Amino acid sequence: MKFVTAQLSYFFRLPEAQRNLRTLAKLIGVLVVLTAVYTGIFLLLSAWEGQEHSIVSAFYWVVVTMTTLGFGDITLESDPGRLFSVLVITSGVLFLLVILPFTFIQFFYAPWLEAQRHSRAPRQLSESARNHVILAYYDPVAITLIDQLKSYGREYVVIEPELQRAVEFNDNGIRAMVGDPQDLDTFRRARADQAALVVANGDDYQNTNIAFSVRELSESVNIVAKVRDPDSIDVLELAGATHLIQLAEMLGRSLARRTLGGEVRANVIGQFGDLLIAEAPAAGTPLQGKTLIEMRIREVTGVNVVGLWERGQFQIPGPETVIHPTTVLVLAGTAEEFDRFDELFCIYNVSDAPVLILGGGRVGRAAAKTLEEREIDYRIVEKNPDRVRDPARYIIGSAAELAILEEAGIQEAPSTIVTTNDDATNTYLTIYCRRLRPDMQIIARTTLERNVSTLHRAGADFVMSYASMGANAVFNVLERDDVVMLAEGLDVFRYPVPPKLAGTTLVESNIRERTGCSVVAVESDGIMQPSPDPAAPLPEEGVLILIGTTEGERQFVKTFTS
Amino acid sequence: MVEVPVLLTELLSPDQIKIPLVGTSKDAVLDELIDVVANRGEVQDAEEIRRAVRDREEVLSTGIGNGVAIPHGKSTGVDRLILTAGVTERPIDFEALDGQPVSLFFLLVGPDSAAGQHVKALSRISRLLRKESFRSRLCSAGSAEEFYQVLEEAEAS
Repeated sequence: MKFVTAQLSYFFRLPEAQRNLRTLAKLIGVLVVLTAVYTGIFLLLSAWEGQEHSIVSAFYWVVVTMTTLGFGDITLESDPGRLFSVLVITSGVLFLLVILPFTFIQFFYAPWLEAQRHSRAPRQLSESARNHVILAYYDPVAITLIDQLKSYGREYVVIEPELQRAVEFNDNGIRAMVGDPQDLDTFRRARADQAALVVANGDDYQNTNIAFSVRELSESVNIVAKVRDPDSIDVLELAGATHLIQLAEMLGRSLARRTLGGEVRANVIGQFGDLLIAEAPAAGTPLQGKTLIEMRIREVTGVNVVGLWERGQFQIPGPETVIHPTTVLVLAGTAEEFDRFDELFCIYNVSDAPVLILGGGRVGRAAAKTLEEREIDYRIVEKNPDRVRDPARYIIGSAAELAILEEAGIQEAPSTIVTTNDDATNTYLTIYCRRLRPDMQIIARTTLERNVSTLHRAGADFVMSYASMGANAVFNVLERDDVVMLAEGLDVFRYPVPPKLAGTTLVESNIRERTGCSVVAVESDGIMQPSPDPAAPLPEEGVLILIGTTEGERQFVKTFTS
Repeated sequence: MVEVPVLLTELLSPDQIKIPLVGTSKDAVLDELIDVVANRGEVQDAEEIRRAVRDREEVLSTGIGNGVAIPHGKSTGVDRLILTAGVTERPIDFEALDGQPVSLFFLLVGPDSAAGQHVKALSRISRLLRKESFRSRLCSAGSAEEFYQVLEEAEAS
């Protein structure tokens, strides 16, 4: 009822609706006049024919005739009378059956529907809106970020210039308001001054304008801006952006960090204080075919095996878990412990064949830069000669051609990074490379999160999506400040020891059984303790470092903090 | 910060290469190589080195396959990285990864403080020895000088 009242009130406030109602009233007036005139003429004609009818009967005849009901109980018999009847029927058909419904639909019903749509896609947020997140555009990053915001119960709104799309968003459970993201007034109506965060996810020019506009409304609100061109960084900072995200750069670096290259040395992928998280392949080492308990990695090096990757599938290992040639170990430990690990394993299965990077765009170049920093040789396969930076390391041609891939060294490459910005191309290349080299590590980039599983099925060992990378970076600004994204949906994260767990031991807590997360380390009084004693009580003021899926993380929060 | 040696020829010299190694067992060959290290004046405690290398072997064999072994260890008995090499007359059982006997040996010892250099040098040795032609040239070297020259040529290419 409240909804209907609100809609009516909104409808009658619209100037266009008021104008349309006036037009409709005029047409009804014409109809009333016509009916009155016809009634008069009927009385005259029926009297001329010698019939006697009251005004009510005459009115009744006019209405019955105009509506084409024609009961036949009253009729005009003369030729002029029948001609008049034809005129009344024709005008009745025109008015009642054509003009009036058409007018009603055109001037009343359609605007009514429009008004309904408007009320489903607001043009402004209520004054009470606070601590919400404003997304300037609906893009792949926004899609993934909205999911995260929903799961953490955070309020948000997407700005959408087109009403129809805004309505569709709202109908599909995505909160959207109508407005132009390049208009200051839109952000005023979105209550940007009371927001927790504004996400400027357009191009560099658009984002500069957004940052500038929002800063005019509020000096303190956080503004996260996506940056495409590094030259725009200064401008965006000057415009007022507080956090800048170079997504292509981040994605390229992240893909390269996951690249094992030709060494069995632990490849560090994240750090929490003194605790390092790293990966190491088992292929070609004495680890393959053995169980974790047989290898005694923790006893010998101090490094703790906190997870295993098997062709893109993450597992929390047990002592009896067998290590396969395709296994990649996820390890946690201190720098000294990793030195011991490296000393033990760095002599096995070493290769200096270059890593292949398919695609020399921003992501591919960022990956190459990181490999260079890691002293890993690489070759970039790129179609566009204008993108060539270092001719010795570029192979010009299509990565879909066997001759080009062979020239780039696919037969020896320990790893291939697929980086083009087209998900379908990346899927094709992943399948192709996997067929050529079943034993090679393949790391693929996807733009949309929904294509992650497709790329895994295509044969990629690791997939990272542009959308998740961006959403995670934005979400870290808002909610968490220390999360290492190991892969799609798998994080290492910090969490203060919940009061429910303080004083209990890890064994008693059953964290792994209840949430699917595993405790990697415990931090207490600023001291990180990797591989914590399962029988030691958790400190009240301590911090847990956990590894787990996004769902596991949610489960942990739900189980131990609610 | 100490510059990391990029070239193995900077860590090795002909007098640190023994051709042939006469030992016929894993322990005997290890002792022979450690003796080469110990004969250098800069080694403070040869027994400490012997213990470190043997401890490492007990954890996992350093026989990496293709007839190559890279025994190594960190010890307080040395102040810097020391590399020795040798080729046995006949391949010996070294419990290598591929189960094949071993004839080509590189032994590296270094101080506890040089973990990074230690790992880099080990990786470098392992990487070079991936090339079959290089391995066979080293194995067929008739003298320490020839062995060193093959190494020099490989690193120069």
